[in-house]
Amino acid sequence: MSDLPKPQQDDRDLLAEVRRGDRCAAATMVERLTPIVSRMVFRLTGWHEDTQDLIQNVFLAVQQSADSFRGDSKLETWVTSITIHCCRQWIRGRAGVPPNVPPAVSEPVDHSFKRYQDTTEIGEEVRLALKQIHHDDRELLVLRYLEDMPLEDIAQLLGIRKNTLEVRLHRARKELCSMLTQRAN
Amino acid sequence: MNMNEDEFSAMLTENEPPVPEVDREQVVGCLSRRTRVTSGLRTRKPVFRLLVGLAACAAGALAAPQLPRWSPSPDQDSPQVSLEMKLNQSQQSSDALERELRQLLASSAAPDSHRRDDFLNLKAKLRASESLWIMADDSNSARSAASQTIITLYPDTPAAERCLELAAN
Repeated sequence: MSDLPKPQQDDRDLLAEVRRGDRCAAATMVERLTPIVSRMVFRLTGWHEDTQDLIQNVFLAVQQSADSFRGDSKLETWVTSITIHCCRQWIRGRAGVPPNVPPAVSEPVDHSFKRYQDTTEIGEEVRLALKQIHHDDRELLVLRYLEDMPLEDIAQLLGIRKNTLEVRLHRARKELCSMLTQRAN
Repeated sequence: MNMNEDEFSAMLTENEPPVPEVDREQVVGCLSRRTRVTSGLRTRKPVFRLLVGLAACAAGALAAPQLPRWSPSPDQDSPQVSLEMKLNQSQQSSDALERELRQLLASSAAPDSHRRDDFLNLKAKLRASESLWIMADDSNSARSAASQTIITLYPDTPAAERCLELAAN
């Protein structure tokens, strides 16, 4: 048993081969990590539809940083941190671009989702609200409620204390609910 | 709108749109291309420097024979010989002018407007040839038939003045 290489060692070898330009290794890595990277990118960018270039940039960053992977954590966790970094850069680059959010329709106040005709309409409102929310808050909501990551892992990934994370998460959740209520009104 | 964490999580998850498909082949191709380009640059950089160095040496070797020489030059390249060649050319052009003048003088017995125009053109040419005479400082071309003709026919021109100066010396 002890002769078997550790998974992290396998990952390091894989990354080393990707770094050297091995097409087969690159295909293996892309096949393995694309579900995680594409899902994370899609969510962190507020469900932006055209994310192919950004996903490509994430993999390029992984390839360039391959030497820095020491195997202390899982490859997926390491790639997640790179993905977050790339998405932040992408969002900063689009800072001047306003989100394509239609204005809320003024209708009688109803502090619930009951006024919506069907679940499709509710889904649309949730998506629009998540697009509108500040990207720092969206990042927390995605990691916690969509990626279902433990608080400790998120805190470690973002380099903040767990208490701070809980406070920021509560604020972000409140903000999103407030936006949904406003749009419903 | 109050909801606990589980409800909030369910609300986001249930309303999430499907993740779009990713062109994985394109990503793999991009990674391969990037590696080829960067590794190519890494390996080619020293080779490129070497080539630039060799090219500079070759250019220097080619340019060296064309540089000014420090040693006394052969007679053929000396400034004096060069000036003499110019003067010879000047002499030849003067002889040509002289022939043309003789022809014009021979026909001046019955001048007409056409000949007069030719004569004026020749006068202009002689004025323009002043620079050639100025170059004749070290030659004996001032005693040529052409210079005598110019002195005779155009005594007030700068070329004639120059010819007189040269003849006086």
